[in-house]
Amino acid sequence: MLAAMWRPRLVLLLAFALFVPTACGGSDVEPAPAAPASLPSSAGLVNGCNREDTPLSRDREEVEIHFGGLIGYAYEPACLRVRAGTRVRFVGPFDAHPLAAGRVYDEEVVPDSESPFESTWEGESATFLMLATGDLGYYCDQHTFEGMFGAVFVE
Amino acid sequence: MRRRRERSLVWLLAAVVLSAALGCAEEPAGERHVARIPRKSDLAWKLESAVYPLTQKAPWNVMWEVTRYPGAQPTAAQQRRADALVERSLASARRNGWFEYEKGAADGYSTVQDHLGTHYGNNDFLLDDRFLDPERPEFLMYYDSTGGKKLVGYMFVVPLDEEGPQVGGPLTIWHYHLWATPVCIENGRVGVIRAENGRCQRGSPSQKSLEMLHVWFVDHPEGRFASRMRLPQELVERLGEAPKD
Repeated sequence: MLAAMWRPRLVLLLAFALFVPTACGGSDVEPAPAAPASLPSSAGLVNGCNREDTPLSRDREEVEIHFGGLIGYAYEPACLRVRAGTRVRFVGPFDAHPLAAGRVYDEEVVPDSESPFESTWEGESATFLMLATGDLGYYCDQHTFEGMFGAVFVE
Repeated sequence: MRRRRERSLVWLLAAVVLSAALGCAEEPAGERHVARIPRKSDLAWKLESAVYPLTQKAPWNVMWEVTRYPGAQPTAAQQRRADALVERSLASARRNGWFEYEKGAADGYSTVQDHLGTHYGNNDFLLDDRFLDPERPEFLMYYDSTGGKKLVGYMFVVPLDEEGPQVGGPLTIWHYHLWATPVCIENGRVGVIRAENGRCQRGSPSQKSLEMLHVWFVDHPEGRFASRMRLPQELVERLGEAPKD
């Protein structure tokens, strides 16, 4: 009689015991994909830069892009348009913000091994000669998805 | 005899249920969830096992947030603990004089072991066995400003392969870095330098960093424990003008 009374409680407790850890640990179901956000690179955009909206640099010999330090986790200017033959000089702490060439997308980064921008992990400045026309993306290899990227348009 | 056995089983199960429920209140069991930074919404959380094995080739560094509370709202107790962590951290920074960069440097904080520019680590505190201790933060975070280096917060870490305790539940979300090529980590605590061809002269190669938690003293737009280091430019500019504490 007593055993019959306890049995349903036993089943309930057993069910609860099995349920609790699952409920606390979170669902094993794969969450739905996040809604698309603004893409760093997409049609007409290279690492957040648009060629049409980027003024052509007046300086024909050398243009500087600064980063890190007082500028923080960003490049200044991030978007640049220059003529072929211009030298682009990056100035900032490469050990904290290593330079890499490529395009940043919402979920991935596509390195550009053909870019004149060489991977740079040390030093305070690096200069690259823009020989050919093209849309050249670059990014900080440490802080890419914190929005630290830009592009140089060469014409 | 049978009745006594059944009753014992009931009490045993009751104990299991109770301990599971209490454990849930503090730190839920089961696999953790991660989301790559920037996390766009709570829907971005996925099971940690889905991230491994590591396949990223570029960029070199990707940050992941990690939690046992995906999408949860903090309880009143978790909120209190989170607030206390911020208040105790701020109080210790003032008491120790760490708003002055020179005092932080004199107390052993330097950029040498991580080259991250804004993180200043203390080897003594990295190697002690006290974690999430506002009196002994493993890192101070200073930003360069027109007024010199300004303290913006602390960063706490736990040893490699240990989980950061979420004392504030979903408010205190830890993060770690996954690297495309390994970094040498000494004593499971101190990042030394990138490994060359996967080998380390000091420490052991690892593609995963220690777990870390920021505590911000400035109004980071993503909250007091935000993982992202990038601050709005206007906030950085104000750092140079503002009094030190």
